[in-house]
This record gives sequence, structure tokens and C-alpha cells, in this order.
Amino acid sequence: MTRNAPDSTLDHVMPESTDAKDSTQRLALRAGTAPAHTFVDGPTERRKTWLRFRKHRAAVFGLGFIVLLVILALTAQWITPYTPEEVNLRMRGDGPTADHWLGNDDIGRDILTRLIYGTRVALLVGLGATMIAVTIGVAVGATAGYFGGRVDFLLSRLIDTLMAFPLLALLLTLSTVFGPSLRNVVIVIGCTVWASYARVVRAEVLSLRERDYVLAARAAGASDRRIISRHIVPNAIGPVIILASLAIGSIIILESALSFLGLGVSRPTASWGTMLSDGRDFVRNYPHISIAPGIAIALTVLAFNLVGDGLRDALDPRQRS
Amino acid sequence: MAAYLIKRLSQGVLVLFLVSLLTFFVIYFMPGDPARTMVGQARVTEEQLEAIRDKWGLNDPWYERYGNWIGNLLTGDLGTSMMRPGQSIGDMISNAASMTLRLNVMAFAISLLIALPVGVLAATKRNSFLDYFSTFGSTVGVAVPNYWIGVMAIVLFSVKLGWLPPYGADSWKSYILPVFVLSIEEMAATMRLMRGTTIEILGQDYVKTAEAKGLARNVILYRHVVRNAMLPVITLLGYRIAFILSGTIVIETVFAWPGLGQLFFDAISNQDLQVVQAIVLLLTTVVVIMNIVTDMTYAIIDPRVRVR
Amino acid sequence: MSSIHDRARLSAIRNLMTMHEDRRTVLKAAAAAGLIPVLTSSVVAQRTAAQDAQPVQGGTFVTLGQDAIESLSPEDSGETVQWVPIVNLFDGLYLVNEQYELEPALADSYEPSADGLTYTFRLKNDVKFHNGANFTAQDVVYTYNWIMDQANASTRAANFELVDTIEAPDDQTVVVTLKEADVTFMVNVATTLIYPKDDHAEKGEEAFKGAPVGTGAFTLGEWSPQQRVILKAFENHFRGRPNFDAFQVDVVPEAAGRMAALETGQADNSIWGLNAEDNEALKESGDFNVYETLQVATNHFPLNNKHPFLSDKSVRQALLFALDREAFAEEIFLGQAQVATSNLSPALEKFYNPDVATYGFDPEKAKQLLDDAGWTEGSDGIREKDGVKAQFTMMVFQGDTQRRPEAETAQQWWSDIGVQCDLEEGITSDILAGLVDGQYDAGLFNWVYGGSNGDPDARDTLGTGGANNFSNYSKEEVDELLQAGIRELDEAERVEIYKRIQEIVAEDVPFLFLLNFQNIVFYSNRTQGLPEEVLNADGLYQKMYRFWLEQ
Repeated sequence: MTRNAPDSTLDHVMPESTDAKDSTQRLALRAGTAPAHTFVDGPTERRKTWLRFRKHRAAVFGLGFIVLLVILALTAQWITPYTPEEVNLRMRGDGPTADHWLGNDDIGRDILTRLIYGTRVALLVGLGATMIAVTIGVAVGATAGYFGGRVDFLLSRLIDTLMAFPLLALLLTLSTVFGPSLRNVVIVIGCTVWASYARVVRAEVLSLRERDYVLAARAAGASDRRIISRHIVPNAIGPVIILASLAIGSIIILESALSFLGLGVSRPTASWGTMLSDGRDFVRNYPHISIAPGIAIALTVLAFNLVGDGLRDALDPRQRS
Repeated sequence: MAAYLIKRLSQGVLVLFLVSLLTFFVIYFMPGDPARTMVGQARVTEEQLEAIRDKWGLNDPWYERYGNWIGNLLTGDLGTSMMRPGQSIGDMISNAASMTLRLNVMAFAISLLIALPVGVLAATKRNSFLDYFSTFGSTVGVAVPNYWIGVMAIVLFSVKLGWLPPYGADSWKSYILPVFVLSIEEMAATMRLMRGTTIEILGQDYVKTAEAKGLARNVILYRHVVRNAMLPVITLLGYRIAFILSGTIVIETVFAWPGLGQLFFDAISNQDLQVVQAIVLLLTTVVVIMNIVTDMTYAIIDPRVRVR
Repeated sequence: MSSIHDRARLSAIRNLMTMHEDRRTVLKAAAAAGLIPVLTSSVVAQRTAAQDAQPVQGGTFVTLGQDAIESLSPEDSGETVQWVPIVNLFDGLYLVNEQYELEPALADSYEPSADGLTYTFRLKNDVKFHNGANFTAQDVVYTYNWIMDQANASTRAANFELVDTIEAPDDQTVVVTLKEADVTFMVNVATTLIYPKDDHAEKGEEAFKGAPVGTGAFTLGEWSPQQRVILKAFENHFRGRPNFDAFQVDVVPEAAGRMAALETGQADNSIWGLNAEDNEALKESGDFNVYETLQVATNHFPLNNKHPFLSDKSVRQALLFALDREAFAEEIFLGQAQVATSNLSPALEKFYNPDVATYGFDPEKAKQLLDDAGWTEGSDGIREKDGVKAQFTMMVFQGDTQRRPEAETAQQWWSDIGVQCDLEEGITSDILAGLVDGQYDAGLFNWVYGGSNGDPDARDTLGTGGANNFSNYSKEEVDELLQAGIRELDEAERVEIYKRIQEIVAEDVPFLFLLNFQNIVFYSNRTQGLPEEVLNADGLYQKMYRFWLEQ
């Protein structure tokens, strides 16, 4: 058992992803108390989960904010009066006005418009990369946990290897190799952060595979694939969802850091990280250029973290704090 | 215990081997011609370029390049830098590493000094002002990108107020901003963890029993809660130390701090592959060692762990 | 805003060579009298503060660079941030100073032969290298031969193209013989920084980059490439000990950091430029001596003339018509720049040709040109012709926030005429080399296309196969003119040659000439001994031995 998180920016969101908490969690599981996660249980359970989530006021606020972001991202071209690339040099660094609520950037583009378009990049990277990571992570983790033995040993070392890499360093290197672009950022991040999911799923599966219903399915002659996909994965998915919801925020920060360093989303695409880096040299004269995207990133990450907290409490009542 | 240690060590070596392979190949496929980058605009003929490639072993097949690299590494020879001709990579890295370490050790110390007591106190005084404050602070602290705080702090403290130097690593004053910015995230994470763990432990049966037995609150806190809560904190410490580079790479660029992060960024921009490889391997080695150390600490504190 | 300084600038003060028939007379007169009034008075900088006291020794002068200082060998003096410490560590036989004058350094005098094929230098006595060795003619012979030896692939080899032999009849005399008369010899060759023969031969160039030994006013003290270089006063410098105890270059990548350092007095000067807004603020603060001179460098987008889309002359003209360069100058650079007309800057008054084809902001004309050339709009709004897309990638220096807005704006304006330009960031050396190699399509930076220190020679940038020919431009007529230009003794003829080159460049648009920047350089008020007026502010970096700090 090794413990580490993929990155300093990721680990804060989920101390539970470390085995420190896992061990207590698993002790509880072994003791046979309450089903670990209630995610796939019947509609009443789902409703209960929702009710528990709803009690978490901050989480509901977070969810609301995310819904708002999604709406903004989807309707960006209709609700913004300008295009994100529209340059107006005569408005270089202009502060907020009635026509430009958040002012203009160093080449006179409308900051609000770019901010709204920036939600697309943030969500695409946050959700896209997480989806890739979850898919790989669940597949690898379930395989390792279910089959055990040599397969487990090899896959676990692969997980260890990936987790041992300093993430940002790896991302910078990969960005240089593949060239910076939105698509590459999503893929590169997705393909490097999956290890923590794999580790969690593996641990869950290790305990699940000895459960009665799995043993029963096996006795009934169900194939490995069927057992994994029908019985194991759905039951192991709870902690993955919690981990994922908490990791989205840090992935958004990662993307912004990459763009800030010039190795993320390429210009002129409006990304919050690129906007920050645009404003970086003008902080003295036009601080509003970098303040707006900074706040946008912070609020978005905050919202995802709150939802993650709420989900954890709702899905896993034992962990409620 | 010894068997467990040996097992963990051998796993560690295997992981390091995989890491070295992966690093090598990622870098092997980096686009561009390091020899061309190296000569810059010097008027060289193709033969001279070939000679440079030969000299740096860029023409060798991959297994030879990998073998030479690992071979030299094992004898402690990191080679010389391409971007700073004549300089030994070992020296470059050790200088930079000491700067990065200084920054991080301070940030670490400060965040622990504040986060640990505040976390425990917040947990014992639920719903108090302190609790809300620390919860709010740690939630926000992890959400705000730290490099942005860095940029804003420069504007405020260096540009507007002129209190602190905006860059460099000269006097104690130049440490304040980067250390402060780095410690925020650390503090938030630790505080959150400490609070959560303490609350969890306070709810455990044995604590309740102790309370029922009439043990003084402080005694319970110290004997049961804090000691147990240290376990996850040690884990956190373990991997936080290991991930120093990722945490500081952007901050070092913002504050022009001559540490590993900047060296790495320079090396990657200049295609100084040897330096990139060396830094990545160094850091992963630290991670692997820290993992083993934390595992062992864990095994000593909590013998149940060894079973798995 | 600083340009990326090219070795053209270091090597060269070429204006001296604008001579009449009797070259010897002119050369002698120039060396004796000094100032060659090449530039218009409008670009002469005025210093705001004066009243210097007597020189005092002591203190550290701090200046700022933007990029790591990787090498301190004269071989690597291309980037300004390296050039500045290097010229304080080394000397040449002559230097071209801040007034565009040829000024003796390691030499006392020189004597050109009547046919202009032989130059005889008398060297100074009692010059010491930092390591205690005596400077002799052998060091000059060694340095020149080292550069000319192709095996060393020197960055400065091009300057020595017409040099035949170097001899040292005695320790104080150097005789250089040329294959053909070279009007630019004194500024290109005689200014070459000199290596210590024994030390350099023993260490080899590679080790020397990290352990430089020269005759300069300062010796290497502390050096941490990413952080700073500290040069210490050299007690045995031939001009006498410099006044500063130390000369320090801090590496500060952030423009905001450089500005803060200047404002708080942490730094006295910045080698690398600031934002236009910051320039204005510092000018107003009254805390600085300000030098403002028009750069001879051209701010430009080099374009690969071999690229399937960009090789079309009408395309390049159209791209230029689509740019509102006035707006660049006025809005992005707050008037601290003016629109460029061709390869030479108006600063080069004598050679500058205003009567060339012009390209005002005219998107309709741009579209028309593209239409006429057969580039028609495809379904995706991008023009194409014979399966070739109207698309290219422009490389911008990493972190170049001052100039990047030009690229981002151009990207939009070009997209309006159906041309797609992608932007990528990269490191300076890679972009420069990649453009010359033809690996990259386009770039954005400032470079001297003739005019460095007053002489219009542009072989390295406009000549076929030139070391700095970023656009891979190749035109027989230009090549011939360039070769004639360095051999032409008659000044009026010479002027005609370079005016003709400008006409051709304006017509061909091998690269998109955008602006000529004002070079705005600040010196803190505590810096004393500064000249009242200069023609070339960057030239002052060679005079650090002379200034002092108010105590």
C-alpha cells in the first residue's frame, strides 16, 4: 500500500482518497456495517440521497452555480453582445463601463464575453478530463482488484508509477510533446490523473468481490465481465463519484496553470488561465484583466468542491461531518 | 516488519525502473532537435550538427541512450547540461533543490503550526466562529489558484505598498511572499483534514467511553484524539513533501525563484533533456522513498496495516 | 521596448563607413573628431536630471533582464540580457559608443592602407586580463582566427567573410589583410571582443562560457543563471578601476516585477523594456534619467517566403494591408513607436527612403489582392487555392506580453479577410533558429534589417542564406545590391544602393514591417556621470566603468 495523491493540487480535495481514511472506511466495511454506498439502490434510496444532499445548503448553492455555468457555456453565443475574439485596440485596458461590464483586456476584447466563453473551456476540461480519467481508472482498478494476483501486481505498479510522477511536470512535458491545444489538454490531463481512481476502485473491488451476491453470481456461472460490469463496478462507483466531483475543481486549476505557463489552451480561445496570463503583465495598470478570471476560477472550483462535499455526505452517511 | 520493508523496497525499485522508462520515452518523443536548439543561430554545417548529436549521444538507438543514462546515473554522474554548457547537472540541480526546499520547508512549518491547532480547536468547538472561519478559510483556500494570489500579492505588497521585494531570493524579506502564498493551500488542506479527522475520532465509541468515564476533556483530546488524528496528517505530510515541485513550479515562475520548478521549466523550454530527466527522476525517487517511509511509520503506529 | 539584439548591433557601428574617395582622411577624421551626425535631432535623447558631482567609488549598480543568463562568452552576446554583462567583461580593439562614434578600446590607433585592404592596429600597453595575463597582439590573432575557423562554427564568422589574414609583427601591432575592401570592417571586425589566448585555448569554448576571462572593467563575481549575475570591479582595468564596486544583472521575467523593482529603487535600470504604460509612469515620476531614441530595429512579422501560402507576393502585401499599424503604434504602444515603411528605420536619416510603396490600413484592398491572386474563400471561410489553405502558424516568444497583442490582433484582422493564423509560443533561440531553417512559418520580434549603429548593410538579414534571414528571402537583385553596398566607396552611390533596396523590400514585403519603436531607457537619479544626450541609449551599457553612484 502506498499513499499519495496525484498532485498537490488534487490531494487537498480528497484526503479520503488516501488510504489513511480508506483504512478506517474499509474496517467499517469489513465489519459488515451498512452497505458502503447507496448509489445504485432503488428509487427510494436515491430520493433519500437527494434529500440528504439538499440539506447540505452549501452544496446546493454549489450545484446551482454549476448549473448556471453550464447554461452560460451552452448559450454563450446568444447572451454575449460581443464575440470573444473581437479586438478593439482603442479600448486597451479600459475599466468597467455600461457597455463592457467587466472592462476590456490588453487588446480591447470584452472581458465578460471572454469570461463566459471561458466557462466552456473550464467545463470541457474539468468534465472531459475527469471522464477520461474515471473510465481508465475504473477499468484498471476493477481489473486489478477483481483478478488479483499477477495482474493486480503489474497494474498496481503501473498505478504507483503514475502516482509517483510530479503531475504538473509530467503535464508540461506532455504538452510540449503533443503541442498545446484544447483537445490535447483534455486528453493529457485525463490520461495522467486516472491513477487515484484506479486505486480507490481496486480497494473497493477487493472487498466487494468476496461479498455474498458476487459469490452467488459466480456460483450461478456468470462471466467475469458480467460480474464486473453488473455487480462490482456499480457498487464501487460511489467513492469514485465523490472523488471525481472533488477532483474537477483541481483539474480546472491545473488547466489554468498550464495555460498561465503558455502550455495550455492555444490563443485566441478564451480560457480563464490564458486570460490570467494576459493580465499578468498589466496587473499594475489594469488589474481588472486578471482579477475577473481569478475570481471565476476560484468560484467554480469552490462550487465543485462544495458539491463534492455534499455528495460525499449524501452518498456515504458514515462520513458525514 | 523486516519482510514488509523488503517487500516495499523491492516494489519501490520496480516503480523507479518504470518511472525511468516512462520519463525516458516521453522525453525521447519530444519534438525538435536539441542539437539545433543548442547551437542557436551559429552558422553550422550539417556535419557539425551531426558531430554535436554524436557527442551528446542523440544518434544512438534508444536502448543505448537509456542504458548510458541509467549506467551513468548509478555511478552518480548526471552529466553536463546542454543549455548551460560546461555546467554539471548535479550542481545545477542541487543548487536549485536547496532553494525549493527552503521555500517549502518554511511554508510547511508555518501551515502546520497554524493548521493543526486550529483544525483541532474547530472540531471541538463545532459551529463556533472559529469553526466557521476555518471551514470557510480552508474551502476558499483550496479553490483559489495560488499563482493568482501570488500575482495579486506582488501588486499589493510590492508595487502598491512597496513593502516587500517583488522577486528574487536575497534577504529574509524575499521569502515572505512566496512562503505565504505557498502555505495557503497547504494550510487549507491540513486544517480541513485535521478538523475532519478529529470530528470523526470524537464520535468513536472509545472516546465516548472515555468521556463517560469522566476523563478530562484535554486529556481525551491529547491521548486519543490528537494522537490518532496524527496518522492521516503524517500521510498527508508524506506525499506533500513528495510533491514539492508541482506545488512550486508556477509559484517559482511568478516570483522568479531560482528553484527546481524554474530550472525544470527552463530545461523543458531549452530542450535540455538530460536536466528534465534528472529532475523528474529525482522527484519520483523522493516520492517513492517518502511513500515507503510513511508506510513504515504507519505500520509501526498501526500494526493492522501490515496485514494487507 | 527593447529589441532582441542581434549581433549586428554589437558588431557594428557602420556609419563611419559612409566615406568619400579618400577613405583614409575620412576614417582618421572620424576617429579624431568623434561624433558623426547621422541621426536627426528629434531622436536625440535629453536627460532630465543633471548636476553631477565628483566621481566616487562604491556601491552596486543593479539592472534587470527578462531571461536566464545561460552563457557569458562573447559567442553568445546575441540576446541583450547576455550582451550587457558580456561587454562589461570583455573589450574589443574598438567600440562604437552611445554617440555612434568609433572609440578606441584595446587599441590606441589604427591605420588603413590606401587601397583599404590592410588595417594596422597599435595596441595599448599594460592591459591585463582578469587572470593577470598581459594582453598582446597574440590574443587578437588567436581570437580572429578562432572565429574564422569553420570548425568552431562561430556566431560571428559572417563578419569575417572578407578577412584574409591576421598577423602580429610584434606584441603591440596587429595587421589585418582583407580579400576585398570592406566598408564595414571597422564596425564589424575591429569591435570583436577579445579572448585571452592561453586561457581560452586551454579551457575550450564550452567551459569558457561559464568561466569568462576578459580585459573588461568588471570580473565575474557571482553567477546563478536563473537569478543573477554579479560582476565585481576589476582593480587592474586599463582605464582604471570602475567606480561601481559591483555591476549586477537581476533576472526578472515578470514585467510587473521589473516595474516594481524600478519604482522601489531596488534597481537602477532595466535592460529589458517595460510596458508602454509603465514607461509613461516612470517618465512622470521624475526619479529617473530618461533616454529616448528611435530604434534602428524593425518590429516585424517575419514570414517564410518558401511557405506554399506565404510565398505569394500578393498574399504578403494583402496581409500588410489588413493591418492597422497606426493603431498598433498609438494604442498598444501609446505612441512610443511609429509605422515602419521598409527595412530601414527613419533613425538612419541619410539612408532612409520615404518614397516607397505604402500600405495603409485597407482590408478591402487586401481582399481584392487575394481574390485577384486566385485565393478564394472555401466553405469554412478560409481562402484556398489549388488545395493550399490560406493558413500559417506564427511563433511568439514565451512571455512576450508586450508584443503578443500585435499577433493576437493581427490574427483577428486576418481572419476578417479569410486568412487563418494560429499562434504558438516558444523560446527565443528555438524560434530564431527555426525561422532561419524554414521550420516555422512566421514570427514576431524586433530585428535590425540594416542600420545597426548607423550603417545600412543588411547582408545577414536580406541576403540569400544570411545567418539572420528569418524570412528565407532570396532575390538576386538584392543580393547584388548588398554586395555592392559594402564595397561602394562613394557615399552618394551607396545611399542610392540602400534606397533601392528599401524600394524592393517595400514592394516585395518579404516580412511584414510593422513599427519602429522608441528605445526608452531609464537610469536612476542616483546614477551619476551620465551624458546629457545620446544617439544610441544602449551604447551606454559599454560605459559602466565611467558612471558612479551618489553615496
